[in-house]
Amino acid sequence: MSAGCVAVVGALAHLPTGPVTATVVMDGGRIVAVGATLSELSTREGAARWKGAPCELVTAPEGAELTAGLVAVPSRMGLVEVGLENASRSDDPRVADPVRAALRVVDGYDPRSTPIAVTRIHGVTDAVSVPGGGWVSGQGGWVHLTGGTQAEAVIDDAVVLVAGVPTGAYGEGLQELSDLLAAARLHARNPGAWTEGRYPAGAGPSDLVALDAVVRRRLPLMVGADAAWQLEALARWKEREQVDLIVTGAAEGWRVADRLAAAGVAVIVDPLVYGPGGFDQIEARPDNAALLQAAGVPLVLSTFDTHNARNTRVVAGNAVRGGLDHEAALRAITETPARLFGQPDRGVLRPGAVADVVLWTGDPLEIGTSVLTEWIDGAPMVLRSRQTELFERYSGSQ
Amino acid sequence: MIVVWLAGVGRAADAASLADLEARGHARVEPPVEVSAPLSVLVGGTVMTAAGDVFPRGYVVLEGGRIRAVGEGDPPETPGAVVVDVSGRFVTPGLIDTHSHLGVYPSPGAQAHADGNEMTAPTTPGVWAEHSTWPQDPGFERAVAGGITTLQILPGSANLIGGRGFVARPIPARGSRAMAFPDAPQTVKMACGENPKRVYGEKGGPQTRMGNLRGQREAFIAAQAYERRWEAWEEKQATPETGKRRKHDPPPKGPDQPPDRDLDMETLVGVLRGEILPQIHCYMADDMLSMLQLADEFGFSVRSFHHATEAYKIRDVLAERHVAASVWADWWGFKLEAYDAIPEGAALLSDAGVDIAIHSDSDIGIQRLNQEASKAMASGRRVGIAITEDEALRWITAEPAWILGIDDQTGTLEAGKRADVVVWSANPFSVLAQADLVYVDGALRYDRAAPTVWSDFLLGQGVTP
Repeated sequence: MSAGCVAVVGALAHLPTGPVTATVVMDGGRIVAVGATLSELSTREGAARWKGAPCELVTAPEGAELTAGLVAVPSRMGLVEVGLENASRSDDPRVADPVRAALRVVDGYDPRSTPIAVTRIHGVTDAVSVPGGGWVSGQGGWVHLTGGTQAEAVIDDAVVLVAGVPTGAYGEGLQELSDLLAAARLHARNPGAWTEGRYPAGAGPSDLVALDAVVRRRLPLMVGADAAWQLEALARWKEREQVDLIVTGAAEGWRVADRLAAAGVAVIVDPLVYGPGGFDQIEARPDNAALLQAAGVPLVLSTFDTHNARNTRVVAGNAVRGGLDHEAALRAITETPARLFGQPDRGVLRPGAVADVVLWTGDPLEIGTSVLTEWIDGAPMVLRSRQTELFERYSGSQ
Repeated sequence: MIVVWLAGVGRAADAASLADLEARGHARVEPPVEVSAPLSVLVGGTVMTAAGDVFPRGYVVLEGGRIRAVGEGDPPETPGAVVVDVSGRFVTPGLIDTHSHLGVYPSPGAQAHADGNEMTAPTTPGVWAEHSTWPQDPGFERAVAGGITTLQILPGSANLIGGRGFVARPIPARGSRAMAFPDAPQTVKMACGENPKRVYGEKGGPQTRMGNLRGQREAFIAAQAYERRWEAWEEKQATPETGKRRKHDPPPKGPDQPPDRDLDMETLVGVLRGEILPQIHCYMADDMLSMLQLADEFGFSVRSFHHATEAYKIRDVLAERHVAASVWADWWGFKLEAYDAIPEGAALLSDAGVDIAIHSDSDIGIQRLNQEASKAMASGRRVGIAITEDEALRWITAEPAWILGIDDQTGTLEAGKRADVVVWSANPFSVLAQADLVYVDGALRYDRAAPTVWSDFLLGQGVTP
């Protein structure tokens, strides 16, 4: 998709260096310039020219702020229309096979699923859709919340491998993961040696190839864990196996934040978790995200929801309520997930980046703020969803 | 005092009325805990009354567990009062959540404490949530830290008629009855739609929505018959016989013994008599209309639908009948019943004159009901529905108080009401706002500057409040 030139002027832009009133110019689906003053941009009588060519001028209203599009990760975006209706989802783990490393869940991505538009109109432009269930659940993909076809929407069909470690048998679970990685290494050296039943838990050749991407650190591994002791065990295991590890949950992460930072473990945290919802969340606390960030742990904030992934920004606001720096909270729903999932040219307002840009009425992390204009690949989005149509049908007098 | 609590115990046989029996079921065993509720003046902050007034430099005087005065400017002379400077902060009524499962599905989730759904039969009106409420649930102290001063603890929605709700205070207690909101009416949880038929579809039914309705209608038909038996008995008790009957008159008509007790029927008779307030889990417009038809058939009023994701579609009907809706700000899509929820729903309902509550149904959501109200307000404003902060505040205070039948006691900052008050660090509609001070009946139950751990469960676990 190609998009024309747009210059957004006068907004408080959240740049990698911090918030500053700046102009952002997009052209051809990319951000082409960012700065307080841009010598190649001229504006006169409501019209702009960029490098001498006509460029649409968007003048931000008083108080407006500009960010990169937000990222919802992890989610079931495009995979689930209605949670409890299996007939409406493509990720129903029917297969008994516990190792599904080769599965690419975005093969089941429906770009017309209604939660996509519902989410998009709240400034979320990107998502990572992931599988669940089993022991090695499969690969998650990076999707763009636009486009009517998989070809347009699926940016990368394999950005992470999702696995689980059973809480009730932790050492055994980690050992089994190690066995699988060992099998993948073996298989990489001698693919001809594979015979059915030889590798753990029915892992087949395609699974071993996918696991080899983890071994070679082309794919990060994503594992859920909340308890401090689980996080410590995972940090040790990561160092032993030399893989890239992203932990979801990390409710007690603050207790072992330095250890996670030292091991290079990244975390995806829901800052609303103030437990103890489970025995592994007893020491959850509201400043968890702030303490993890302070220790230098790569931090992503998440709703862990699909239908309400639109609340990503409010969840980040709650992390600020818990003491996290505002810009750090914003990075944790834009730049950091993009980097962790192999999309370094997304989630950031800088020249060369993909033009996923949102103009807000005010602070994007505050509840009352709304999206004014949203561009994906530099093209303005129509901010409507199925919910808009329901509202319009029923908002008249009865 | 001891005499008073024991007075009703142990005389089931000579009960005069269902009301007597009801009172005995709620008698408390342990002595009440005395708490200090000193004369206090909160002064200098923005006072949001949820009763139409916002005082930019207001005061609230708390005395003897009640609100003595509320207003703008300098407070009345109150010698000996604890003066709390709340300049730059915001004061609101204590928040009320009409839909919680704290205590009956407590934290941490454990099989041993899964006490919220009596999934042994589809109709169990005789079970009481207060008998399942575990007072050590750490969720209670998290809730009060979010400004909650009253909550309705409900049985789950597996059953067509799931049992009594429990209107409670999030306060430390050894047994649930010590948490009971004083003089709150009893409530009953009912459910329509997907859940009962999913739970019982393979266990003898109901398996369909029509099966749901049959189950509920049959229950109320039985309750009508039971009520007639009690009416006959109560009438006989009320008519003095001794001394009036002459020797050769025939013996009086009617039973000599009270009807056999039936706990399920006692609850339903309470509904028929308008003493027990029905709280009905119901999402879809057509299902809610079926529930209103049920209520019409048996002559009772629905107090509030819960979840009610399509309530906005029938807001004219709800407004006309004064039936409330307890809704989320934005939950949707997790099941087909919730597919048509829209974030403007709450604002549409309120604008049409329907009493609403923003409810949580969540141990996490209850910690920030103010944010949920803020979301619902913002969603309304985005489409041009002019919701004031006072109105949105009423969604989590005054209107839930009405839903629970305690609006004469709490839910607004007005002289004479219970001193249920929250001091916020910032405007409560901001994502950054924190409850700094929370008073229940005038007693300071949460102080963010000096928090304490209540739950025995949390001791020795390294938890810092």
